[in-house]
Amino acid sequence: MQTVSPLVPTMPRPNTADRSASGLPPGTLEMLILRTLTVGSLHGYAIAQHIAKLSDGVFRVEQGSLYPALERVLNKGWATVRWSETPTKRQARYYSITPSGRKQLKEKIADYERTSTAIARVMATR
Amino acid sequence: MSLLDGLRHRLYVLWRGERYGREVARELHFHVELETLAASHDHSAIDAELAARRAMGNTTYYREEVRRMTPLAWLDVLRQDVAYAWRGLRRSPGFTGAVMITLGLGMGVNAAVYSFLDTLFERPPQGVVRPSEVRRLYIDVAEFQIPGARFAIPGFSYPSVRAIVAAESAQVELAAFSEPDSVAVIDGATRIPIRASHVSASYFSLLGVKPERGRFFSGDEARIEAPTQVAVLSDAFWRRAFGARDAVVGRKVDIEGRPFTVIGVAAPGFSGIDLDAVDVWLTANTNAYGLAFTGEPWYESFNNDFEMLARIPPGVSEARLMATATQAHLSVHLRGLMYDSTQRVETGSIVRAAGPENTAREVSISTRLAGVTLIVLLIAIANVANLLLVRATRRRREIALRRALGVTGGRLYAQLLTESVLLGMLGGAVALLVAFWSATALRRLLLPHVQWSTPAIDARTVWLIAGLSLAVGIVAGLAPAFQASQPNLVDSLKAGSHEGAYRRSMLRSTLLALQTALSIVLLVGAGLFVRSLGNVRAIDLGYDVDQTMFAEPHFVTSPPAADVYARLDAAADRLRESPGVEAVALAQNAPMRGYSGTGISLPDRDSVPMFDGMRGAWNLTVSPGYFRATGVPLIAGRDLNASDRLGPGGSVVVSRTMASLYWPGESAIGKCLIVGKHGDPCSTVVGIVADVHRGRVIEKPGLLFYLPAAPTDTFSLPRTLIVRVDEHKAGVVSARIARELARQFPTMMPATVMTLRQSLDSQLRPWRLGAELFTALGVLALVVAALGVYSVVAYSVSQRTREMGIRIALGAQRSDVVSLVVGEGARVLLVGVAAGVAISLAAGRLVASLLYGISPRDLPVFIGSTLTLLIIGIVASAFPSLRAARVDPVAALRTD
Repeated sequence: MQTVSPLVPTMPRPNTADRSASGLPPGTLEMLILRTLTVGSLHGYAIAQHIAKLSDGVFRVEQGSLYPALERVLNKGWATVRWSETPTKRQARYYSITPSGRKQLKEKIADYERTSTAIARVMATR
Repeated sequence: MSLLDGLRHRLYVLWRGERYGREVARELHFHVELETLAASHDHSAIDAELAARRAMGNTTYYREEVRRMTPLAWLDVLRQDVAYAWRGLRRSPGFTGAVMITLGLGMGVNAAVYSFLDTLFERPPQGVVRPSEVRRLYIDVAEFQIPGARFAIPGFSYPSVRAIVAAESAQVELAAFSEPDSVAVIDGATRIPIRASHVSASYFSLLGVKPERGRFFSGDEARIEAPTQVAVLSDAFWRRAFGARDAVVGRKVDIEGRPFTVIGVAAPGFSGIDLDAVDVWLTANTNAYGLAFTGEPWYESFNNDFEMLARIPPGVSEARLMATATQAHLSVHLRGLMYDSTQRVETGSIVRAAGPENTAREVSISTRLAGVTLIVLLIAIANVANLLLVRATRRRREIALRRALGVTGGRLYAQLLTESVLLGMLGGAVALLVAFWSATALRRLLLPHVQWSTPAIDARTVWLIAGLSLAVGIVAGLAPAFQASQPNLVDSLKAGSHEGAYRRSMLRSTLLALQTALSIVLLVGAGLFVRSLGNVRAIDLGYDVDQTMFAEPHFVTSPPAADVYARLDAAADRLRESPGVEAVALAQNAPMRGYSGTGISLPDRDSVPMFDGMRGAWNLTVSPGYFRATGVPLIAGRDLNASDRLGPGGSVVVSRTMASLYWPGESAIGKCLIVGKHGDPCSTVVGIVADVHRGRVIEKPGLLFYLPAAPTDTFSLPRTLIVRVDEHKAGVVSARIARELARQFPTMMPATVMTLRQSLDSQLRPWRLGAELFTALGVLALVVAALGVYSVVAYSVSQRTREMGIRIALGAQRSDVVSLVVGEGARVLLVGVAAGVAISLAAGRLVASLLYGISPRDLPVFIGSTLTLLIIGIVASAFPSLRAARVDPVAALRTD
């Protein structure tokens, strides 16, 4: 019997937890997702569209980053997911923000504002 | 709860991994479809889908990423490791089986002993409210035979109970109860054996037990002067005997021929406060009937019929309570037969074995057993560690390769530990079976008469085994993991060494020496116990224990003593004619089952001489032929005969020591012994018999004389039939005796008929038990140690095939090769034996109190144990060494 040993190392893979394909800093995509979900329950495609539209196409969320990010959000308990019907009568997974997701978003926004204000100040000193 | 949302999600992914994978796939598929739809405005349909897929990337990869990312991913890795380890173990069933059994035995036996000791010493009885507040009361008394020595007894006479209850303030609750007694409920023709305890009305309320049906005893029912025949059933007995029917309350049950009305059923789980489960509680006033031999009502006598309990609420001074109780006890005890002004009332835990009574030998054995089983476990762990080491060394090359390919040390440890922990768990499964079996066996062996109120193993034992499996798995896996962590990669991978270079392993040798040392300790222990048993068995009790058979009739209501005597005499006459019967006699009690103490005097002396600190002698009333029936040799004079009588002109037979102490330097025959006080008539000494033991197999010698039966002295009239039997016909004779007794006493309960040997069995049992248990564990240790020696030597031989081939090619004789291999094993054995002897010498005093007639440093035992282990060890290493000697040099040099 041929057995595959788990001791054989796996090939290095891009770590999606740290770097996103769209070049966003870590954690930013989650923040954008949570912000988007405050609008209401959405499926993955709609979330991507929403982010792209609101950022005037600057943030093109690639699907390869989107779903792992959604998984992280689920793991943290910031959102829940369930199967539901789309207006076109198709089944899709709809994500909804949870209270702890809202809390997290608030913190992130405060963080972001503090950081961006600080950056703006540093940049403005010239 | 958001945190729970996250956790729920992770668990879902973990447990329903396959299903979740499909869901994610569907979601990604849906996404691609929408992308395609959106893009189809720009491209043709097929191009659009391709573009969408390109944008999406490798969906399988993302799906895997999603799984890897869950913070419970380590569980996934663990599952992989376990599956890998499982496959590996299944590939070597011999190794796996050996480890499972070794660990299973080691852990199972330990869990069983733990469970036994836990029930005995730690666990308060079930169903008692705040058991730490409930204390048993004891009387601390002086041991007259040993100056300064004291011991605690749990028995209180009713006058004491009454005085203590009256003296204590209302703050402290008190209750009295009798130790559970074996009686029978009579239902038509069937006798249902039960355990009954007589309790005061306060018993249930003190313990905090509630009735499940009906009620408990009222104060009025418990008045000691008037027997009230009411009964409370235990829940278990109610279910067992009455099918849990409500209608039982108010029903009458027949207990030993007396009707009792059931008034209630106790709450489930409560079955008294002793190891023995109580089936029925009766009121204290039915504990005994009629008058004591002093002529008073039984409850005014100074028999220690009752045990006592006190519930002492927090903040109440226990010392003050006991001072009051002591005063009260002494004030009535003053009227007792043997006044001892130093007696004190003291308290002990509700768990009886926790003290302050002297512990039974069986209990002492069980605590030593805990140490011994721990040693067996250590040996098992050392053995398993060694087997794992050998296994890891065999895989040295594979491990080196993995390291060379970049597997981190951490992953490597994890993998090796997973394997040993998995082995531990498999061993744990075996241990559960072993524990259940051996806990039951232990109970039956050590305390066979207890009707246990708790199961042999419970949830705590199961948890213990689970914890132990994990710990043992980790401990046993540490050594191989340590060794694997520092391989010399270059050496291991180099060609020319098939399995990696052979190295003498210090670790392996140490583990082997440790096993050997511990085995020596167990073998020495076994040897000491076996020799003790031999010594105890060799004690001459003075009787022919195998040929002396006795029968005691039991009555619910005894016929008059003279009637019993006459009918026994008639039975004796009929039995004399039976085949297999060599002699028949009657006696007040069977040998070693009770004697009387009657005052004696010598006509010309103020008092009789002291013997071993005691004045006076014990006596027994016997019929003519008693000495022949019991095999006690007559040394001088004659046996009692039918014309001998008690009282004026009477005759007595005295024991040899009594004769030489009372009449030193002259013959006792024909001398006068006054049974009674000065001025009473003389009895003439007509015979002298050999000394015998009076009660215990191990006891200090004492003085004894024998009196003829006198129909006027009903107290000492014989009530036991003694028959000397032909050993080969014991079974037939025993049945014949039972038949004859049943003919004479139609209303009698079944009589006890047994040989003296059988009646002494309970006394020899602890000695036999010690010998059996220690021998069993010693042999177990020896087998495990022999396996260890074999596996280590066999391994080293298989690693050195080339070396042996070279030696033989260069001219070494086969015998040289054998002695080389055996010598190496023997060196380790010798180190282990030396350490084992040292440990045994140091640990000897721990068992000294359980030995008889032998020092814990007995030389023959030490020599025997050492030789046994060395011989077995050398034989175990001889097998692989013969294989080494058969190495074909050409084949060995060609390999690899």
